Amino acid sequence: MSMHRRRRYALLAATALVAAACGNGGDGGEQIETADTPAEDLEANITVWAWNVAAGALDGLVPAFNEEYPNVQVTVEDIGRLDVYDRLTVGLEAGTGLPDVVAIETDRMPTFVNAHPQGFVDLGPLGADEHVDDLSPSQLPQSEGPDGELFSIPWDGGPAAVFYRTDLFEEAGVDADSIETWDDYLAAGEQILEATGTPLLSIDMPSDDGMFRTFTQQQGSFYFDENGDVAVASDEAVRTMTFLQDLAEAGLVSNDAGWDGLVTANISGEVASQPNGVWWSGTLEDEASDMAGQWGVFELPAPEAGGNRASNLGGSTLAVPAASENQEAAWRFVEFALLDAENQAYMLDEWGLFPSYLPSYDEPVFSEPRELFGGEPIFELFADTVEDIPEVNYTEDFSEAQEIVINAQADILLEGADPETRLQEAAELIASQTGRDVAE
Amino acid sequence: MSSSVDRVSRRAAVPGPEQDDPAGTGTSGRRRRQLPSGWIFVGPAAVFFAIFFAYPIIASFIMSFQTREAGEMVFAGIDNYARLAGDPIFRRALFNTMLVLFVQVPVMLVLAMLLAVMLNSSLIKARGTFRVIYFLPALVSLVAYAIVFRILLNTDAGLVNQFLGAVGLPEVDWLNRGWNARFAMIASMTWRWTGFNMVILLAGLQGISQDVYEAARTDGAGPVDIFFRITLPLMRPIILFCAVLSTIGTLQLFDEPFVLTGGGPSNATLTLVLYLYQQAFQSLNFGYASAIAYVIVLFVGILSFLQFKFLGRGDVT
Repeated sequence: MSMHRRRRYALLAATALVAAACGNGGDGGEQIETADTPAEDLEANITVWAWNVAAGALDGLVPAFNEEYPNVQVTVEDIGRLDVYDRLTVGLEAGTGLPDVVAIETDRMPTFVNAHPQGFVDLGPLGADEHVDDLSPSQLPQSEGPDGELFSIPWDGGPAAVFYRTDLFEEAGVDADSIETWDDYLAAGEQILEATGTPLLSIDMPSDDGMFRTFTQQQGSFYFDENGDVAVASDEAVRTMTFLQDLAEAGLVSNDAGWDGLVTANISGEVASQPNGVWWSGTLEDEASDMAGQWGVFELPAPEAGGNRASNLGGSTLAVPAASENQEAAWRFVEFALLDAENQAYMLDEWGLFPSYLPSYDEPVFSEPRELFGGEPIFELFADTVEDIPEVNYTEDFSEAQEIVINAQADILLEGADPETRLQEAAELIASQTGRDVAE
Repeated sequence: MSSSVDRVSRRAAVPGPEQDDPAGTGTSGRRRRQLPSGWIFVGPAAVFFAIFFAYPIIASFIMSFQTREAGEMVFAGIDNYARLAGDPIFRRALFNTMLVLFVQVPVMLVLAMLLAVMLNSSLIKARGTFRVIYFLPALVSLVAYAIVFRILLNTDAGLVNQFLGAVGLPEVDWLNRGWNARFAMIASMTWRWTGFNMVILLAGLQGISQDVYEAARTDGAGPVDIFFRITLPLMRPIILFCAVLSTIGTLQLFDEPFVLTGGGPSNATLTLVLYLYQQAFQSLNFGYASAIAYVIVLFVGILSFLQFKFLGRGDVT
């Protein structure tokens, strides 16, 4: 018997003892069966772990939540992204010390679920099942367990588009609306570089492969194919890496380190555009609030004319750890925050968190003009792309694959390695590290 | 000397009632009375050791033979170690770690020794100030200094490249090219740890009696002879101490590559412990990470043994 299971039995035995001693046969933290306690009768103190704007947005919802659930006290702890993961990892391993609700990035969710399939509450039977069709199809699979469980609810999504500096594009005489393909984008970049001396976009070449993921997903490919085979040497992946290499070799890529580097390069005008997830608008509105009208958005360019222009970068989910003693209250809070159009609209408007809950796209905030973007209602543009975002397979080996692809990218963009051979090497390495096959 | 040696051997040869009594007979009554009070003093440390050292050491050893299946850790034999043997990323991490060990550690120790000898010399004024200056880097928070180096070595705006540009040299892409990044890591570690070793060596130098030097000078030995024939041999235990400490520190190297380069570009600065961290806390492969940890333990053991054997041989006193 493994250490882990023995510990759980010990815990169960202890719970049974306590329950017997109290003589009331409480459910002892096991899976709750119903979720139909009237709102005002529900009494609990729940703790939520999140970070940054996610924590702020959830905290901002608490007063409204308490109007409906007066006896549920919610404490949102903003403990930083990496701390959330460290504490979650340790807590899941120990089966204790966990909050009632936790924010987890969409791409990390499969790793946690695979390592701890018993660690999260299946939210489907609690009432989430009836909403499944209302959730962004590209965000949903990462929340699902091996047997169709729903271990988290997709929260914000990252439909991607190209953010650009209208003044720089104008100065170079480039019409953003005319950019439809990668070739158009590259040509526009050359024109802008010549006219203004500004590179087209920023990539953290040795440490982040966000552009690679965005453009491969756009073509329906990813690290892994639908069977879980390694697809980083697929035609789509090679085409993407070649495109990025072309951009870099034309001098159109500024190599900026880390999040701060990216923000600085964009806001100070060191680059003319940035393909990114919709959440980038929140950062721009926050950090570049004095640049009203200088920013615009256009759809991702397609690899070839008429191709798909929708993709996704990033996103997060909310999960309820199985160790929570207030699973029903925790679920109600998640439901209130994520499966309610109005609350989603609030989080988008105030915190830039773009809903995965499709019914919220009819909310007024989507058609409201955004000052920074010259009065364009940019969220409508993103919402329109959501249905076209291809579903891809992240798998529990996401981080291992990512590390290896990032290294391949560094060799390709910085050392001029051949994309096809280098990605083939990466595919074989991922396969040997994860025990998977290389996709044909 | 001889009289004290005699005394020790004479005492050992004649076991009396106050000598150790392994069988627990003889004066055991008195010893038992002392036992509880002894345990009260030792107890907290022993409990602390058991919980926070012994238990994790044993648990991670067991874990290194386990792998995760459907969320439960199950026995997997030597699978993790077999995977390590064929893992090219692990080999890369091992290469990088050994590079630091065989390049950075010797350079740093030679430098520290030179500085220590210089600052031990009465010819240099304000020696105390210099000692403080050289030692200060060791007091800086690891993360803070790595961030400062990252800013200094920034390709476009870093001070180092600005300086190179000012004297007409080409800019260097310090952190984005494999060997440059390795050099940057080695240079920053040398900056931080040389002064630390210097202080230990300096303490050793000051423990050498001036009589020895005076006698040597009387016999007509020059400064070079004195350094190689007297100072170095007498310092061997101290140098061994520094070497073993540095070896263990290098095999556990994590902070610099983590903050400076994140192990990149393309794993050029990935170290064993950074790889362990990635496997454990990013990929949640705790079994595999534990196997890496035990391989590191094995290396520490082997290298320390070799150093004791070659640096520590013979007793100079």
